[in-house]
Amino acid sequence: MNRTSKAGILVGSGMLFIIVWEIRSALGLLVGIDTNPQLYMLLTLAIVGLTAFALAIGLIGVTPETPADEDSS
Amino acid sequence: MNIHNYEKLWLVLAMVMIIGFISTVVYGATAVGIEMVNDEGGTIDSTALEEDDRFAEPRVEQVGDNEYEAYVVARQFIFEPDPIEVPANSTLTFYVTSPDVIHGFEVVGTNANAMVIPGEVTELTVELNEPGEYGILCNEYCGGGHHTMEGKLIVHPEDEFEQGGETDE
Amino acid sequence: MSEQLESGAPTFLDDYPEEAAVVKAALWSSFIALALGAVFGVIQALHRTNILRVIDSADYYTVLTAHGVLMVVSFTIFFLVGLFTWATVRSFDRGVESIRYTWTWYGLMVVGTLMAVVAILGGFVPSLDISADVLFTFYAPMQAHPLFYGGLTIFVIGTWLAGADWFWTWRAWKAENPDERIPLQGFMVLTTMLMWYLATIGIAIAVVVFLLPWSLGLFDQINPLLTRTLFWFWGHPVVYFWLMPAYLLWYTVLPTVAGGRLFSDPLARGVFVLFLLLSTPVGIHHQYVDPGIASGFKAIAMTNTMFLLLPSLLTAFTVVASVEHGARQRGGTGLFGWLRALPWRDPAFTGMMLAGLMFAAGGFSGMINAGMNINYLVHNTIWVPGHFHLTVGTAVALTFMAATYWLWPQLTNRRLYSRPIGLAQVVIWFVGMGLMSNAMHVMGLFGVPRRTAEPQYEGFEFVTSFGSITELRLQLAIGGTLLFISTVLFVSNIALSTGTPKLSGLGKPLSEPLSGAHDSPEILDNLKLWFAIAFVLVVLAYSLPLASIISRGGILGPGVDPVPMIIEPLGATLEPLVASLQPPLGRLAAVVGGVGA
Repeated sequence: MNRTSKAGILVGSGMLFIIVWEIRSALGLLVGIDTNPQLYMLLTLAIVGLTAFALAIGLIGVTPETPADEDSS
Repeated sequence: MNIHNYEKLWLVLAMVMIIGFISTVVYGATAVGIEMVNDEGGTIDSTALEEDDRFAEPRVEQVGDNEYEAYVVARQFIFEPDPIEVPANSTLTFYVTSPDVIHGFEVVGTNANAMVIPGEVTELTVELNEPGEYGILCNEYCGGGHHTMEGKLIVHPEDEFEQGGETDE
Repeated sequence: MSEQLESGAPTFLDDYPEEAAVVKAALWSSFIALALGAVFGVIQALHRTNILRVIDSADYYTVLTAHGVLMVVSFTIFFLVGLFTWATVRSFDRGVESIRYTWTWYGLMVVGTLMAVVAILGGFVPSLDISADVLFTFYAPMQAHPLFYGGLTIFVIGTWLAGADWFWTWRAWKAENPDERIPLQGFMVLTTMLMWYLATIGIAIAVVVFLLPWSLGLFDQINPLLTRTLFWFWGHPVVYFWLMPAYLLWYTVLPTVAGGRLFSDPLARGVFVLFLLLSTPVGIHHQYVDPGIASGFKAIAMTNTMFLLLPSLLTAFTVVASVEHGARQRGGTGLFGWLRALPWRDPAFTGMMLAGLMFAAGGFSGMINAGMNINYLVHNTIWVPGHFHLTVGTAVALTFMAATYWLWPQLTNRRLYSRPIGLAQVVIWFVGMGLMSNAMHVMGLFGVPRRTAEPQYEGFEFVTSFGSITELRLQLAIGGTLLFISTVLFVSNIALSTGTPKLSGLGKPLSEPLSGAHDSPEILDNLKLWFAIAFVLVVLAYSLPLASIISRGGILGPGVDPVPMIIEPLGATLEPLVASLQPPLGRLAAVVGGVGA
């Protein structure tokens, strides 16, 4: 499994952070579930952090591509 | 012109979604019966509100069985009357106007939300089923004190409401 | 190996040095407006959330007027005229017909902006009789100083002359190339400007016929619903004036930056024609809860608005398809794996992609706004700024910033000061906006109003269905602060780029579309036809409502008095500084003639 580039991790983390955080609004508005803000923020940061770490060490990642792609990392 | 198959599919989906949105609005307008604020409130001379017997004395009036009308003046930076009081299980029609600038009239936490424009009378009918208290705020910038402009709508339990005498000022 | 390969090609600066100078000037005007607007923005974000109040609440409305006008009039439109000058010259491959004419319209835009900004900032100075605390929408009977209305008028005239400049170039090109299709970027510029000419009819009448002479005291009554309706005649299509340059970049620049080619020129052309047709006859959707306008007119506006979704949805497809093509050209494979092959390290690329992603969210919240009866729930709440900070605030602003990273070296023959900082800047913008806009949308659903210095009321509390208003305020403030930091990073990066070494070969040619201009039906190039249809649609949408407003209320209103917007700031923090500036400012005020009071 290839390691994700630093740029990819940065951009992906930003997107994942916003997506996970906004799920809290969806839960609150659509389903009526109230969540503790501090705990939810910690959970969000944990999810984003772990994902970033896993991507960085190659534990997870998008499917490997052709060798030509290595140059763009 | 060569249109890719996926693009054709996307175009169809987009049109379906657009028609779907229009349908939800039509449903709201017809089946649910939500009317938009319109021009039926009529015009008024905003410099001579005291000559209109609705707005010379802003108040709530009973006009039928469980039917009330509220004549409201929105001005820098208050709503008159304040509070607006009616009983539960009633239909209330607001008539709102302004002698100075454009204001907003928002009953917080509800969908009663309209513009108030000098020279025009805003007519808005709402159904009030449960007792409760609602804040009213101005949501259109109207000057330096805009953020202080607030009022109240009090919906009394039916048996606690005394007819004909609940308005201030 | 460097991500940004030197193509060795000459730059726009090499080929068209005179035009490059104008483009740079326009972009600098744009960025100065952005920087000042951003300072005001963060002041607002901290003030209305009650986290940090450094100004008086009455002054908030001066700040808000400045923020609105600087961001959506100056920042966006100066960028547009710079970008369109570049695009016109580049795509028709010829210089402007008269560089003096070009500098003239740019100069008018600068003069107009300065006039309006002086009028607005005059609101901070109690002793000056000049102010324009009327917000970006300047609804009568609130009245600003004539300098404000005069400034906006001159600014808009500048944009009209700019459009004429580009039509002039097209005419000259067409004489030498009678059988050729209009090059795509040129086509986009021309259709956008045709839309603008149609759209500005409303605001021109409102300001020149009514508001300006009224503020000069030539008459003292006005019909507020009429001028408000004329404002929104222009107020909706202006958002497409902001968006269409961003679309131009997504269609013609982003595919190249992604390493690929535009999926389809004909569809891009078709999208711009749709915007020309549909942008203007929809303005009444900003007046769904206005009295004085019949429901039928509102329903027509609603239907037109829903169809206006179509060109944006089509754009989403084409942009993603073009980027995917680029990714696969770079070796990407798989259902989603191709995403990895994209140049995420390039802030020009990443910025535009994040902008496009955020635009999808903004589009959906816009659909809610358009939903006539649903609008009752969100009208004039802070949901609305939540929506437009995603659209103009991100889709447009972030795309402009990202595109600058790509374009600036070609205007200056210098590399960007720092690409990593550029990348950080676009990601911080995305995260900051995500937080701020999310908080705004949610608070709006709970009834919190927009345009309010202190949305903390005495007689009632806002009721939330999750969390609390306090944490939502905190989230808004954090988001707004991140946006301010991002703006500082952007402007500094560009400013510092003036000091990097001069290089040659920084030119970046644009790739050709997969499906080219020759594949598109020739009728798309018939600009007269499309303008005629657009004009008819506007007449159909507006003649009856305007006639009704005038016949019911009178052309100068049923007796409405002007309300001059000179708010006396309760604090006097600026007084000592201003006392030293008073003599020259007083002379300026006397010259201009403070008639507005």
